[in-house]
Amino acid sequence: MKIKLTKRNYLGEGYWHYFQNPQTKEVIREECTKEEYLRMGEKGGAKYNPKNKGDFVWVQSSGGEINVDTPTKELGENEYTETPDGSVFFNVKGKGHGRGKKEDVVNDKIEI
Amino acid sequence: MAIAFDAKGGNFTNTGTITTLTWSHTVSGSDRIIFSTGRASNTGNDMTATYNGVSMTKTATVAGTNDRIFLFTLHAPATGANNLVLTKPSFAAGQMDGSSASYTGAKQTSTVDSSGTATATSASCSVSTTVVASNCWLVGGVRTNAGGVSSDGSGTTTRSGAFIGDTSSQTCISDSNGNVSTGSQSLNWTLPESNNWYAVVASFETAPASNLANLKTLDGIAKANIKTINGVAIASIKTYDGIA
Repeated sequence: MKIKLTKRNYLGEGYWHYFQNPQTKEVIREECTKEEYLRMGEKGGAKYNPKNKGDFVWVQSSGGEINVDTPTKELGENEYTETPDGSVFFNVKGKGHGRGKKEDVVNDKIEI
Repeated sequence: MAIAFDAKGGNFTNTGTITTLTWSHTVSGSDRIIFSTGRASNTGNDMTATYNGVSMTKTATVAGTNDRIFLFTLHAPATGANNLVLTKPSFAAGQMDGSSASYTGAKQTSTVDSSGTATATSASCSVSTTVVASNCWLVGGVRTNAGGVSSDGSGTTTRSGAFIGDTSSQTCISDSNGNVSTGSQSLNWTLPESNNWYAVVASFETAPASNLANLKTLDGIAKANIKTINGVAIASIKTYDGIA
């Protein structure tokens, strides 16, 4: 089955802190550097965990994110981007994320 | 010493196309063990886990149609609030999530008692393992393309994640909340509909009862390991004022 995808421009790897309001469940995120992220995982690294932001409690941090030119920098459903190494990362609704070769996407369509 | 649930962690799904994930988990008590489930959105991808910078052991893993679930173990984790980190290879960016649970009263060995995996497409999930030692608990998790489970099944208590309608991790961690018998034992969940699921389970042992003798000392009762010529034993000690 061929799925139509929207191409997004690759911006680079992103590292993010996630905060959630326990009452409303609303989530906000704040960008950090790779160094700030990696030191959290070292022995005793919890002392570098981000502080809560008002009603928003730090719940998680993540890294190595494929950031693209969307408002949130996230790769949305049925979107794809090409990375500098010639790979294609895509996010297909109901199938999740995947990685392929540039040639796998023809006229913004991919065979799933 | 009996096994007891200590604390949970994780409990949040990240929707980004990522390769690494970090959350805090607070561990306390004695004879400690911590488990983590992790989910990678591409089948075949590998994953590693650390707690407070110490590598966790990959205990079990199985792939579903879209994703793969992992179960990691670490005996004697550091106490306090420390970070648990899941990491995939850099070429394997995708959605990730995970949950963690820690316990006290666990035998401090380098391996678990047994482990198992299962995957299928159905409305009920069951993953079993052949328990070897007496007084073990089961721990494990399930990931489903339905986005979560509806309820726990027989002999299963979910500690973190996976229930439909909440915002927590879509990869749960659950346990037997009590000792199980030896032989084939399982964790069980119910889905809202028939869908693809993949699950991991392990059994882990209770810490052995300590062979400690009551000793009467000058200022009260103390406990001590008594080394005999053929091992550790309970001993009667004759003190200056009688048998204690």
